[in-house]
Amino acid sequence: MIVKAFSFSASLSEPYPRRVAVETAVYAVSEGALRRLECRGRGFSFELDALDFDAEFGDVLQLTSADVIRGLAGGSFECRVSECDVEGALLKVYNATVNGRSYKLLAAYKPAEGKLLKVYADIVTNLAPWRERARAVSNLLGLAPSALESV
Amino acid sequence: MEQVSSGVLERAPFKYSEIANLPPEEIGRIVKKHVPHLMPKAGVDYRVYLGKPPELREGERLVAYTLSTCPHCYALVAAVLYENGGKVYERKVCPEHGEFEELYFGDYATYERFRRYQKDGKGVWTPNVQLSAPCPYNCGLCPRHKSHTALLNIAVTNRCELRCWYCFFYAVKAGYVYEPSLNHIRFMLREARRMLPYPAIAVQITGGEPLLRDDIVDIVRIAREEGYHHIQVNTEGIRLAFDPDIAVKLREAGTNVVYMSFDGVTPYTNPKNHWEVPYALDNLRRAKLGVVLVPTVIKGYNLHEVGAIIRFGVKHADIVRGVNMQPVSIVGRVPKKERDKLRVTIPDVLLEIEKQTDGQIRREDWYPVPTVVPVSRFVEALRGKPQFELTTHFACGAATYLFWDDDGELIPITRFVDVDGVMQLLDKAAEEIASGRNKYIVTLGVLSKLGRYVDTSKAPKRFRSKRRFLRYIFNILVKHDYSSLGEFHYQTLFLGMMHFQDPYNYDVSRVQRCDVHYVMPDGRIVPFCTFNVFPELYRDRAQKFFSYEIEEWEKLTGKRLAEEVYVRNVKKLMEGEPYRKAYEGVADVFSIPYEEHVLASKKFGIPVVE
Repeated sequence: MIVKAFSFSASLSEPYPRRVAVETAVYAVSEGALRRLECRGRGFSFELDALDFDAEFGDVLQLTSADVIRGLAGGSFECRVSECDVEGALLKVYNATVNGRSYKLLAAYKPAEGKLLKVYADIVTNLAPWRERARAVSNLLGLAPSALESV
Repeated sequence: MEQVSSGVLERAPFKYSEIANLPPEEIGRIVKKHVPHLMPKAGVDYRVYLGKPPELREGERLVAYTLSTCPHCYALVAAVLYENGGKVYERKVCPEHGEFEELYFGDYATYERFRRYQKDGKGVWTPNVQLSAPCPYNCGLCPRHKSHTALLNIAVTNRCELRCWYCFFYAVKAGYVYEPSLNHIRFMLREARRMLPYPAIAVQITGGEPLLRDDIVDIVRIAREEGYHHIQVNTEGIRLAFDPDIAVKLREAGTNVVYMSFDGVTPYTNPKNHWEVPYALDNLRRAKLGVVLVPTVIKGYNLHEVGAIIRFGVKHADIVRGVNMQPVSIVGRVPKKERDKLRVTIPDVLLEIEKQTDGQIRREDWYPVPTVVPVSRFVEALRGKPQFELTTHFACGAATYLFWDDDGELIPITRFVDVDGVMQLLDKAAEEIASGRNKYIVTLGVLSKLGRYVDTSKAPKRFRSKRRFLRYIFNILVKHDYSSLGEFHYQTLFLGMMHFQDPYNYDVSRVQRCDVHYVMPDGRIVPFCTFNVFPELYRDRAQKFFSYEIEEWEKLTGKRLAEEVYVRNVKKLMEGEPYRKAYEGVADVFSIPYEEHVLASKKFGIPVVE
């Protein structure tokens, strides 16, 4: 199965100024541990990637492709799409900076009916302390308690 | 619309009467199974053409890019917002149906002023649907949505006793009766109460004409039982005019306010209920049930009466709590030339109000809806949990509060309260509390500074006591309870404006921030401007699926749908004292010949007793 991940920086002007940068790291889950995946990179295309971008960041960062399009007048958007081969459960770690504030955000995926389902996502407007989030994700993905220390 | 050939099953594979009386949880379990089937289908209901947005032309200045839809086939297309001649326009091109250009906002300066107040919400933490389609074909609410439900609409019938010429929605024209059972309504109301970060607390019961339901009072009671703090009933007011008891029963059951259509002060501009409104107001007055007047504003039709409508509201301010104007939303396939004759946007209405009130209510007195977000953020910082926030798009709505003196002078709140100053004070205080400062000390600081932003020497005479005015503000900010806000409302007239979108001026950016939602019979919660702008994909599809066939409904109820037609007795209504009193001093309706009254009613589609 191929999953996409996005790393981007955006400076958006409309309807209000926002600066957002995200570096995404993708980890496969195997035998209670995380293994960082090497993925193929390519440029971003609204035609191909807008829906996946929304699925990735609509909840986590409250940022959608419509926001990006809206903010491009007088703004900028640079995005790298990574395509990764995965077989089982997956963890995405977003190192995000939103208007100068830094966040480490998590999204967990599990296979079900031939698809990868998002089973957990941090939402930037509703963040529990890191320890609680790490524990929740570890439990969901069957990770050892220390597995998230290095991400 | 061309795209509606999806082949989806139009009706549920069971008779609605078979599930109507099941317990709410059981109804919920059954209807939710059908959500995937009822969702809009890519390639069938809509297409996506995300090419480059249209180029700017000479004399045009770029404002923003956005996503919109083709009014003919609902394709999702890129669009450009640009300024030309001091106005903001939207242009988009559908590869199949060509270019569409529409006025988006009638004054660029107001656009820029309003834009400064935009604040986004916290999103939806408990989405009802997974994300599987582009906006607006994935409602809802989906993980992309930015605002919680501020006002939930629930349509409880598609029956109506009026036959307005432009309406294709009511049961007789639709060919089915949509009338969810009380248990089904309870399920729908519960769905919206489950939402986080902030469950729905305000509901509007709407239709069709909801007062046609014999159990309307039970519906209000159910909404109250399910935890709704604010309940409003949306009506054309006919039954209110003739049945004094219904207003009392609605109030006793928990209705806070009635939302009543009111398009103007003359029979020409308001043929829908011009003659009945005075009687409805009288009955509401007796029942002590407040009303918000809701004019749909159309250029060339009633735009010239917006000032008079406000005067009418002030005249009846003992019972009228607000006037909420709605610039027209143009539905159906309307040529550009015709649209230009009708089209009016928020700044256009503000300008007309300024002119028609001799500058007493100026454009600058109005603020976009999200202006008040700092109030919520401050209270949230005090209480430590998410609060009700109005984070709709800045181009969707505007409001102000109006006071008046005994001599008739209109005084907007902005004349004696520095709204910007108060909001900045609260914004800063919320940040201070969030960064760890003692909240009691910060609150004391806010209260000690509030007085600087109020100049009661410019306030209406009854508010000249600064202490009294600040007490209202204190109660709203610190107590933050509904009764405090209600007490304030009783002293003033709320003036609001809400411009619902249509396929011509559609903007995905706006709909992602929408906070006026509908709960559908399958439990989905859908923004107003997808529910009504794409009726074949949302409203009609879902309602028809869970509807009665007319014959079955008539058999079950013993009623005849075709006989539910209101016939107006213009003469009798005009002769009554309430009619004379209601319009006296606002509009000279008395010099209009009786025949013209009758003609106005008939032309609109409402027959008259001769």
